[in-house]
Amino acid sequence: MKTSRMYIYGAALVTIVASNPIVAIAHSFPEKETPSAGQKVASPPSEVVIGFDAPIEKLFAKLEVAGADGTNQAVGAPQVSDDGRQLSVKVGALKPGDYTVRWAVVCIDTHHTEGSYTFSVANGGS
Amino acid sequence: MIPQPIFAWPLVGSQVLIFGTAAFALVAPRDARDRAVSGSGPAKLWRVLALIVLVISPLRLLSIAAGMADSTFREVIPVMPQVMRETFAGRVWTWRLATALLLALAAWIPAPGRFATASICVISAALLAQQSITSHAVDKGAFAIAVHFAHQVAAGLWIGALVSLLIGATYGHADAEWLRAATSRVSMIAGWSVAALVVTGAIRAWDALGLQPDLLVNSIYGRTLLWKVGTAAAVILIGGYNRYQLVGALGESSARASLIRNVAVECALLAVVIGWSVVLANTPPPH
Repeated sequence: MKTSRMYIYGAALVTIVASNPIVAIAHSFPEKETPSAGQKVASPPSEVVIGFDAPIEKLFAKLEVAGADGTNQAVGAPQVSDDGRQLSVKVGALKPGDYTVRWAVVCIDTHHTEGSYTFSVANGGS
Repeated sequence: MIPQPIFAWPLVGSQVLIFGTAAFALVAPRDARDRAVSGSGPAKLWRVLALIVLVISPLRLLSIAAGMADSTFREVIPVMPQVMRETFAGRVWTWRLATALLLALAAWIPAPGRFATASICVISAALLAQQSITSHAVDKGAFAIAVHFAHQVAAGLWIGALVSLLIGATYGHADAEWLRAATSRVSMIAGWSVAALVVTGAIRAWDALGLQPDLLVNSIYGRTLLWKVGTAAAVILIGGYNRYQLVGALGESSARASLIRNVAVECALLAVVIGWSVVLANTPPPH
């Protein structure tokens, strides 16, 4: 009886442990953006940079900065840092207004993530 | 696009099973080894599993590359050389395909029994290691990869011991004495394996953000995880019933039949657990 009870407790322990959020161990997500999401910058940035919490694959990294009319303001191809944790792209002279940054990356664990955020350039910035 | 688990499930299942059954063949007592390993049963099983690994691996690689490129199988084929050269997963998979070929050779080329078994065990362990290197654990570094590998090894030993017992009992025409001895050994391996699964699970949990129980019911990932854990818990309970209720009564033919039937159910449920694991590995976590 005692051993049977130990088995039940063991099963319960496995349940609790395995239920713990392994959910957070996966994929690359932005940790920091420059300019940051929702920020209103006084002077236009020369590049947009996103730092990720896990390394990404350069081959599949995408980053574009769209103005209000939807035109991509990025200049050249997106760059990935040597450690794979930073994605950046140069941008042209941004006029005052709202911009949407769209990113899509593949983590080195092969999983795909994507997202977008906005920032704005204040009047008199350019 | 073909869902990732369609290739991942038979691949992961075959790798874990071939490792576990080969490991059991190496550590089992002599009489159990004779029953479970000699004859054509396990050798045939290993050949079939090695063939599955060899055939499914390139397809799995294609499905992964298609997922990375967000494209179809046909669209990704032209960029495969670039994927193999320029991505981390591609470089690991180059080794993985070679290892799968090596496993097939070891399983199909006749060799002295114990040497062949040891080779199959080591090569399949290498495949499990490569699986860990391309898992979510790679995001967290070497320690997380080691923990993931240990988790797979423990799961493999558990499943392998049960399947070996089933093979021995079914094809070896086991008597009560053999069943009692083999079941005792399988119970010991299962106990240690479950303990290792708990420890490695705890470390992985510690490595995560902490307890967020609401995500278990409020996300697809969480609900899938609950199904997986529930299925694994059912296997543990059946194992406990076998060990503490049936083994003592193996002199009766009804108890022997019940034991074999229960072990078959445990094996089937563990195959389902592997299926849940594969689904989890391909489900975006709620971040």
